[in-house]
Amino acid sequence: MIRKIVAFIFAFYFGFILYSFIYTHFPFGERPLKGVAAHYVEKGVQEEGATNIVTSIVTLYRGFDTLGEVTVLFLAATGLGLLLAGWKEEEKEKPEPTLIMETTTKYLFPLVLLFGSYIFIHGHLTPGGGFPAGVVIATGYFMMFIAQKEFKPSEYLLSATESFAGTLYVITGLLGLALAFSFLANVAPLGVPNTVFSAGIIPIIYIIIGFKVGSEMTGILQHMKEV
Amino acid sequence: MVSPILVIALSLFFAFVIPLLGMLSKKLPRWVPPISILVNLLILLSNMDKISGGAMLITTAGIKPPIAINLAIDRFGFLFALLIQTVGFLLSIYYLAQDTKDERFYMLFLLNILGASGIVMTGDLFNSFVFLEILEISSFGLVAVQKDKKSLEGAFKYMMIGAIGSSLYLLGIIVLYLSTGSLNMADIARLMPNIPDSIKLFAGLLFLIGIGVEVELFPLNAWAPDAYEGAQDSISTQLSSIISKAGIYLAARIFFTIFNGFYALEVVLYLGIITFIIAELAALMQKNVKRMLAYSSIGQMGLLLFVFALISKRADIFIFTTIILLALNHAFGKGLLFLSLGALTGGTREYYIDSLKGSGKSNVLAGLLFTMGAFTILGMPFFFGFWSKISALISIMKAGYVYLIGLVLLVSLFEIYYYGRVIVNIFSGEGKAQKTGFIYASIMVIFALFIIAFGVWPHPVFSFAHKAAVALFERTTYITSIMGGM
Amino acid sequence: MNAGHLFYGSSVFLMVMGVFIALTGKHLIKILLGIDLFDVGLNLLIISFGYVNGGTAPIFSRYPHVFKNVVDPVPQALVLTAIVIGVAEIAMGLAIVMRIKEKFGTCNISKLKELKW
Repeated sequence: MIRKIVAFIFAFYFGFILYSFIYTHFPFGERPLKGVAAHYVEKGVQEEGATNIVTSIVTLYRGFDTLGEVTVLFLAATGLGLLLAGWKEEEKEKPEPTLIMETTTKYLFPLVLLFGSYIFIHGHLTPGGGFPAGVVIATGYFMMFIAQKEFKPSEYLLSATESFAGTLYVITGLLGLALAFSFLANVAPLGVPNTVFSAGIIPIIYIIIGFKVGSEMTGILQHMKEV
Repeated sequence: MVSPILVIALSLFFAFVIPLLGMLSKKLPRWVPPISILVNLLILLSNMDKISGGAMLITTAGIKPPIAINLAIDRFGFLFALLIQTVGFLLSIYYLAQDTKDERFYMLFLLNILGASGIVMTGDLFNSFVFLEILEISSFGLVAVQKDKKSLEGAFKYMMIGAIGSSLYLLGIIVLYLSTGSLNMADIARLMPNIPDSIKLFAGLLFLIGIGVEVELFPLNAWAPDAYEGAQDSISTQLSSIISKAGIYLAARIFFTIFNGFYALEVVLYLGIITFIIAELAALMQKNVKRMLAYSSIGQMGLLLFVFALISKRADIFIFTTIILLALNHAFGKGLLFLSLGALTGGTREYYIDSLKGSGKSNVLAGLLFTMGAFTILGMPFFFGFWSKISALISIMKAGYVYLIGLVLLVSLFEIYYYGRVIVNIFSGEGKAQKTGFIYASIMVIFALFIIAFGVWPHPVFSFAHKAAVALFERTTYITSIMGGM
Repeated sequence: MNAGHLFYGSSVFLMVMGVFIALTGKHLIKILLGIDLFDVGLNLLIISFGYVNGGTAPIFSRYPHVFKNVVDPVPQALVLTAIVIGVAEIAMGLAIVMRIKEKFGTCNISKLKELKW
């Protein structure tokens, strides 16, 4: 009990300090855009050709972070696989999926995949992009894991997609290094803003990320499900 | 010209390729880490002449900082990058000789080294957070890889504290971003005088907590003994020689370059000395040798942080040099200790002092190497530790804490006692015969050679460390070399 | 009562809840959830830092007509990274918890007593 009270006081105190600090120093909505943010908003479209500024920040201006981020996810997928490898499977009674679930998911699955690919292809034009798209695709697989008893994507295929997408990402970056002397530089033509074929390498990177995140999240779900 | 960004890009490439290679043959993946790290070392060494005063700027996305992310390597970062890659290379050779493991282990290892080298090379604050996370998450995996009770428990504790710590680190970055509008280290350092003191204090404390987890600062080091004990010996080496060194680099970069001698460093002064004393006392009471080494490691980091915080009293290049010397000594000395302890136990994971009786007689090489590691940590003459300890004492004196010298020497007596107890124990009585593989032995010998070479000819190391310290000290040069003449 | 209190207050509240649960929780998964809650609160906080009064989303879908008043795009990009990192951390933590449950037969943190000084 004392432990709880102390923890409560500590947490409350922490929150109080944090809240009063941010409320006095950074009043909500009153901070004008400055520094790099102003640059991105003013020049972003001319420089990189993507009308979605967040996308051009994620894939180009701060593309190196995104490469690291993809690596973190890759790390989680591999670490999970490593830790859960050789798990002794217990025989458990799993509830039988109903007929309705089985039939609907069968027809819904391709649609979910289609929606996911729409999101990553239009990442530079609309909200979304490779990461949400990958998660949408993984949701489709998750649905199948629950509803179809025999459904099991090939582990080799998943792992190969993951690695292949990762190497392609690095190669795209190295292409920039080779052609423009800077890693991950936007070397492809920018095209006309607001069309699908625009913004140079942004769509390419987002397609790669879509595949990679999709296969990684599916891999994570599959490992967890098998236990 | 070979761009140093290839160190990160190629490591990533190799890590992503491992599963594909693993499909071809089970033997291939284990060759990837040594090759990759060797390539990295060559790339780094080929850039050695290009890094003079100031930092070497490497842009990404073809846009100048602060708009895009950039790498900024000065001599200080270069030294740490070399240290990390060298220790990483030795360990990768060690894993080459190990029994067949899951190929995914090699990916975790490679990404761990990558995370540490990313931290020391990047010039962007948020990017350093990403690399810190790569480093941390791969460390959880590496600690837990044994999948026995101890390692899992250690990994979970590390995860708990590490996750909260890194979230607070992120909050610190955001606070700095909101008040400067930039995420670039040099740019923030340039704009630092405009930031109100209260924001500085708040952000600094957040950074202190975030990095404190990595550098094992009291009271954020509760994970450290457990994770060190739970992990296998080579991973403990990695924790003490690579991960905590990346933390030290980050602390130096943030508190010196960005905050320009953060005044709340006085907190670190006291916390550092408390860490030092408590950890050494805890080590004194240990029956388990590996846990003892873990506490000793925390104690050494405490001393290091104490010297680190002396900067707030007196900015002196010599103190900066001392930090680097202590870090190098700790990296090689503790690495050698953990590895040779592993050789003494013969892989049985029985670390109790009684079960080690006589193991030094049956395995003389490992026993001698353990003794050498202990001597360099203790600061015996002819070992590298002698020079780093002397410099530490001089630094403390220069900063005007003469009475603390006695305290440090007193605690050193404890160290002599508990290391001596183990050494006497392993060389007395009869033990069962243990064998150490050739590769394992030669790696330990290389560690020991570093220590002795640095101890007998300290001059090159001193001048190298001095140059690195100058690079860290002259923050305006760093800022102008990244931001241009603004 | 303005919107600032609502956004800042609710995200700080989530963070406080997270810390409290992580500190007092006995079950390992509960602790993980606490950490996750803390992350979520932090992410929401960062997003709300980026708000500019009357701003729209930084997507210029009627280019070349450029909106003058948009919200800060940088925190959104950073949060994307932070979310992914949080997911990775929690996934790793869950894997460790699963193994702990297998080895110790319990998820109660006070029963993990293998390591003590």
